[in-house]
Amino acid sequence: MAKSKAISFDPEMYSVKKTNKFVAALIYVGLVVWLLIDLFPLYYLFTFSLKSTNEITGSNVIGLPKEWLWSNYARVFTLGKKTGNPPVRQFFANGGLEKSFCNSVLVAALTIIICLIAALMATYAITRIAWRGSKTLNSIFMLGITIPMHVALYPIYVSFSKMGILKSYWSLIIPYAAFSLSMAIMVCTGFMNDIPKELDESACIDGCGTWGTFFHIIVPLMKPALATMGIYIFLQCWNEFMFASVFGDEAHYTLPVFVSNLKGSNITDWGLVGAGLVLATFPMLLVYIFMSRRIQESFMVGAVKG
Amino acid sequence: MHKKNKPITIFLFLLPALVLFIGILIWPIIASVHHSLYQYPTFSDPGEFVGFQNYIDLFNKQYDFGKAVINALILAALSVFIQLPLALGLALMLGKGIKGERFYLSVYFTPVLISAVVIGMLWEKIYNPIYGLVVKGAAALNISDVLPPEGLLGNPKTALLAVFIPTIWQYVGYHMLLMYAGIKGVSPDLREAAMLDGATDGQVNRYIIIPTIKPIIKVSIIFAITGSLKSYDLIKVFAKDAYNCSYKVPSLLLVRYAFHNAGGIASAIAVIMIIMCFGFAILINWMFKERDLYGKK
Amino acid sequence: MKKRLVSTLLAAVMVLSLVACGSNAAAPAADTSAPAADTSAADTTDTAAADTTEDAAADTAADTAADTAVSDEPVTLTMWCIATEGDSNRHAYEAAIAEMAEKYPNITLEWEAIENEAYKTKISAAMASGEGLPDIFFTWSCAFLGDFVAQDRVYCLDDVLAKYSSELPESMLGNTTYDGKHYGVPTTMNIVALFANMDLIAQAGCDKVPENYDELIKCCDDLVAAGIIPFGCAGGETWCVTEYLEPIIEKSIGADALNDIFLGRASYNNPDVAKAVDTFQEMIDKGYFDPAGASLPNDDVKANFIAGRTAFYQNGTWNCADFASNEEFLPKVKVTEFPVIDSSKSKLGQLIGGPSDTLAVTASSPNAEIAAEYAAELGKLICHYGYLDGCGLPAWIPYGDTSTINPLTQAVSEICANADSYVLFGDTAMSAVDKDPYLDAVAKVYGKELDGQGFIEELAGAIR
Repeated sequence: MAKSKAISFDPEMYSVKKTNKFVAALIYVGLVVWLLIDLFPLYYLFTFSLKSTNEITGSNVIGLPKEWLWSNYARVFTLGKKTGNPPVRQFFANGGLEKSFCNSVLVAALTIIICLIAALMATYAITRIAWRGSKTLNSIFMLGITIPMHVALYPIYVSFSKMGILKSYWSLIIPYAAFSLSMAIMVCTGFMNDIPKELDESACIDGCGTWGTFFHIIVPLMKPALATMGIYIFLQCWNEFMFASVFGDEAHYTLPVFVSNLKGSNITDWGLVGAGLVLATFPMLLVYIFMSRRIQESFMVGAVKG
Repeated sequence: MHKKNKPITIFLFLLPALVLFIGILIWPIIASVHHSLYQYPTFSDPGEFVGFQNYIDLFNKQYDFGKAVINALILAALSVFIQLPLALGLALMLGKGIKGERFYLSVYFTPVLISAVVIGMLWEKIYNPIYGLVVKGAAALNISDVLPPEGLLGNPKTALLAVFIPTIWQYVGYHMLLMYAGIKGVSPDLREAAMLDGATDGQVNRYIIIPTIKPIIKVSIIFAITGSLKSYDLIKVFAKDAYNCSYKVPSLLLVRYAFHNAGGIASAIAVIMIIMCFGFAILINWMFKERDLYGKK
Repeated sequence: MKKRLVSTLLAAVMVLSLVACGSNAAAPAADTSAPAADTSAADTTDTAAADTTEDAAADTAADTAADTAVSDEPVTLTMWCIATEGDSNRHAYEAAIAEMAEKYPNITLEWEAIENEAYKTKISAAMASGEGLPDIFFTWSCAFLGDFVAQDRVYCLDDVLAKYSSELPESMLGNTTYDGKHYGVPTTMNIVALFANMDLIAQAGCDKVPENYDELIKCCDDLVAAGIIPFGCAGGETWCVTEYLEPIIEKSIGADALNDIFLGRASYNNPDVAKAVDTFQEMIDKGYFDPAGASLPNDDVKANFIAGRTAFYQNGTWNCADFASNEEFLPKVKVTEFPVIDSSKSKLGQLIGGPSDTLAVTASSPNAEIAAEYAAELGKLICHYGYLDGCGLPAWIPYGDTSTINPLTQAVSEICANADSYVLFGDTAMSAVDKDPYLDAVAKVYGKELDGQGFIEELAGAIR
């Protein structure tokens, strides 16, 4: 990273006309205001998870909890777990928050892997191999971005039940991967176009076949793109609710389904729902904060190369 | 490349993507088109063949579909003309390199990560006509009379905007990140050279950065429009059972009729939504292409 | 004494209007008991239809064998329901299932619960495709279950329920009977009731719950004069508006007339309905309703009632346990029924509600016979524990010690004991196709987009 830092542009050193101080201050104020607007939901979510329904629905909506109800969290962890019937057979088999968290992570991870592989290969065939119709196919893939997921629910339900993969992780992973594919191909195309074509040619001269070039030249160079694509795919599937609730059974419920199950049909304990939402949201935020450094760095690398 | 094997190689490379794409995206579209020509009184029973009657019925008063389409178009327009300029502005400010750039970047993106339930509930509280921030703010400024007593969400005139503000706000960070990536991809040499020539920040942005990231802006516009046309999650949180609302959008109606024994109507909505999304995507691609041609002249 | 009360309730009521649903559901294959008559269900549902009749035949033939079927072999049954972790019925389900597990160690019940809205999507998708169905499933009575019965997906429970006739009155089965056959085990029932905050009413000079319409109007006027808002109604959730509108219509035009309209036997084109809707809007115009309610979700409106912002709250009786658990609030609150508006057409005891929560068995279940026995007994236990928890009133004749039940639920039992007839909640009674225009129109009435005349015109046009 030292390299990119040395090269990256520092306006202080070069700028001839300095930005007007007033404008600079205004920019900072704007940035900070927007920052507060974006941080507020996190504050709201966190305090909401420590209140009683009474406070949440009226008596104390925005303020700090009058009484810090950490018990909301304790209850979330005990809920959804079956004791006795059926007997607990294995770790996490008894449902609950941990199980649905693991489900969410597993589904997201496999979706990302499958989608990345499919997108990398397809993008390679479209951008690096010359053939008639590659552009048309690319446009068709791009149109996939526009298709609303709800359209597919019922037809997919029928085919999956015929294939016998309903109520399995695959019944979520396959649609998620398919619906993220177009976006992944698009991001991937951008990055792959930045890799000089000469590299392919020299690899060809060195005796690498198409597959060799793909695995030895392209894939390693695409590493910075993977983080970006990964985040976008992750976003598509992490909060998804409709497929997760219809296709999964209790053993495969993901976090959004678990959290929505904290609601009652007539009466809802919102503090409990808040605690569930915090436990579903904050781990992801932490992961994002760690990942975001890497993503931003991968952008810098791309900038240097371009 | 060995010519003989080429088609097979291409096919093999495309295979995983094609399987996913055709199986999960194309097939449901074909199914939807087919279903939309039938009555589908129940899920499993196609019922009578009705031709385009479902499409005609959709625009009858009872389904409120015309209104829903107009609402979705308003949302799309707001996205393009408010959300994207905001995102671009933030990306430009951050892309220039300021202290704590990464921190800002991370925080600006967080609303995208928060589930629609939280965002929806929060904004409901903000709009609450009894204790919400909006009412309190108006009282402080002595302009309470401007607000409807039933709250911004309860008044048919203001509800549409009240729902669209959070919808737009939530995804500003998303587009910002896309554009930021593009801005960071602009060669520092270019910026440097321009600044040495005496260009101001504004000029650099206008003549160097924005033209360079045009492809990304195009992508953002397509995302914003298609995202608006199919927006569902957050609006559903506000709409609840989706009856009393002046902010009906097509996807709400689609889901409602799909599971309320009107499969034909739901499929017709789906087909219209897909056509609209396709249409806009193609239109925007075409608009950007034209510009490129003139640019080259 | 409470026991007697409830028994009276069950004996006295609803033979009238509850037998109604069957005519609403078109159940082509289920209309004759002869297995050969199934030719009408030709194509896709063929196998399921055959299953039903086969099983039914087997069932009648081996009625005595049913007991042995439940006893020995290890069986695993699956069940879907909406008693999620956050649901007030959760405890009743857990307790009932635990008791069943003890009684039948050879039967393993694998059950899962999912949130109300998601459940509707999930069960509809599964029923439509006929794949991935559980053995036992939760359902709402009348139209919701009727759709599945019409698709031949539901196992007929006639033989099983016959054994429980002394514990489960026939009158409670009307909502789950289609073409004379029983398809569901009811658990709890709920009605719409008017909850009143006596402290606030006293501030306006009323010392008791209004007993007739004139008293109610006077009380509301006094409340408004005293600066207190009479009613809270969540415009954000249209079912909450129906909790106000339906009793007003019922108490204006009579239970039978309303029931006929809901079940499609009479047209909406009825000037009395228009008048009732105008009555409702008049109340809104006079400032009886909290304007803030227009945009609020039900939880907030209820919180406003508890916090003393509104004097009345009309909603389902499932709220009883919730209000009763609030020690500060319980002494202030009283529950009653909406007063009669037109005494020439309606009278006290005509209520909105009835048994809706139901367990049913899928026809495709490989163990349908055992599942049916199990579901019946489980339903009885869920009803028992749910009643003790104050989740609603029992559809089965209660047993055991019921003295611990909260005073509000007991008061509702009393109202039901004097009931004349019930009209099921409109959105449960109506088929999915009719429900949408109905709720749309109700929302428009509350939003003042439609008046009484507009309401009946729009619905007469939309609903055949």
